[in-house]
Amino acid sequence: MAENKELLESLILELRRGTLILTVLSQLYTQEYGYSLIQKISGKGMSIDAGTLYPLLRRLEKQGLLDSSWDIYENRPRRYYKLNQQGEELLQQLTSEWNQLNQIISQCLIRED
Amino acid sequence: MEQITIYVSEVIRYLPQKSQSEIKKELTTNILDMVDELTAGGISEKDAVASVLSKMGNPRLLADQYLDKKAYLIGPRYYPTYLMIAKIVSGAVALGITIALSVQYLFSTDASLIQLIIQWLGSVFMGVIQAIAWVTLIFAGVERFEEIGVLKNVDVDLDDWSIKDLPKSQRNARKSDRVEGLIGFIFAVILLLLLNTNLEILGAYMFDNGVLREIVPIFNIQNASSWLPLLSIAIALNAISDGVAMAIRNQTKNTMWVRLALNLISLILFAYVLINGNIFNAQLATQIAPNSSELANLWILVQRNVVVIVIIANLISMAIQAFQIIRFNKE
Repeated sequence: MAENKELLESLILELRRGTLILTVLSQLYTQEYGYSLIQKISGKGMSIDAGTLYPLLRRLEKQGLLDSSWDIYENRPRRYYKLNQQGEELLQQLTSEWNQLNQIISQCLIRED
Repeated sequence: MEQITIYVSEVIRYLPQKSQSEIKKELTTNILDMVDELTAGGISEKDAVASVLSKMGNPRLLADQYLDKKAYLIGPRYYPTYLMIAKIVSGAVALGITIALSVQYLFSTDASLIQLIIQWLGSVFMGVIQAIAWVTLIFAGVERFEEIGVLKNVDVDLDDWSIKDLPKSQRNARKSDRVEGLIGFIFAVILLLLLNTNLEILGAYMFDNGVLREIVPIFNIQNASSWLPLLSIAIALNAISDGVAMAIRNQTKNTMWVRLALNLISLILFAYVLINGNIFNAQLATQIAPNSSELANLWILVQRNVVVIVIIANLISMAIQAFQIIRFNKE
């Protein structure tokens, strides 16, 4: 039983991993910094590791989907990230892909026997 | 607070200089934010820091995430081949060492068996470790070269596959090619080993009443440093070509061309070394039988013809390969 639970957890983790980028991009129409984004995402019921998110933000910026800027006027200097034009376009494409996938999977999951 | 500074510096020490200060600032702020959240909920700062940092996990792994580079030496694509080659090379090295030591033991008068076994264990251990190290190094190199695109075309077209690449008829795995490759490969490894470590045991064994008097070397040992490196490279190139034949189940045009090119370079080196290298012991005949002019003449004949035989043998094998490429193109 314990083994089964472990396997289930690792499979769930794998399932979620594929949706991370979509989740992160979808929350960046308004600018966010690392920790505010974690809160925003977990507020919607999705969990994401800080150790995964912070490097991911930099990677998405490097790929040209996000713009970033430092806000040095707060008590702590914060780096804010926001979707740019290219990021928005890509997010829309990913979203329609996700919707299709959702329908297909729902169909697949109906038991036919 | 100090722990956070240490943690962040542990992360950034693995990162390139130019991104260090940015990531340091950003990561510190994010961690402090997370700590604040916990302390606002009534947890002591010490506990909050401990909790946040353990949630962030091993700094090394976090750094890997930032690096976004291959965090492995040999990927799943090459791993099975790597494992196979490492095993075969280790086996061949062990076999070569065993042969060399057996010969040494058989003809030495004062070696004890226990000494021999200890020497054998030590040599095999060191030899196998070196062999595996080299194989690993080569495969890690292949993995990295592929990343920068050098080897893209040499590989079995894994990414750029189209239906055109499918053979017209079901291909019988040319098992004979693979077995030939395997035999050639093992032979080459043993030869390399013997030439480079026990050159003196390759020779004519001279006995007096059943006791070994001396081994008259076939090769020109005094001059070895001038011809052995080139000869070794030539043999190694041949071994790599055989290794390709052995390791890749389905040869493609590219792998065939690579083999042909390797064999050509190897042949040129062989020919050069054999013709100019002065690699044989010119005194062999006189050392074996000082008064036999027939033997002396025979030895001169042998030395001359070895060059011809090696070149012809190589040319035949290259012609077969070229023929296979042509046939492959037609298929």
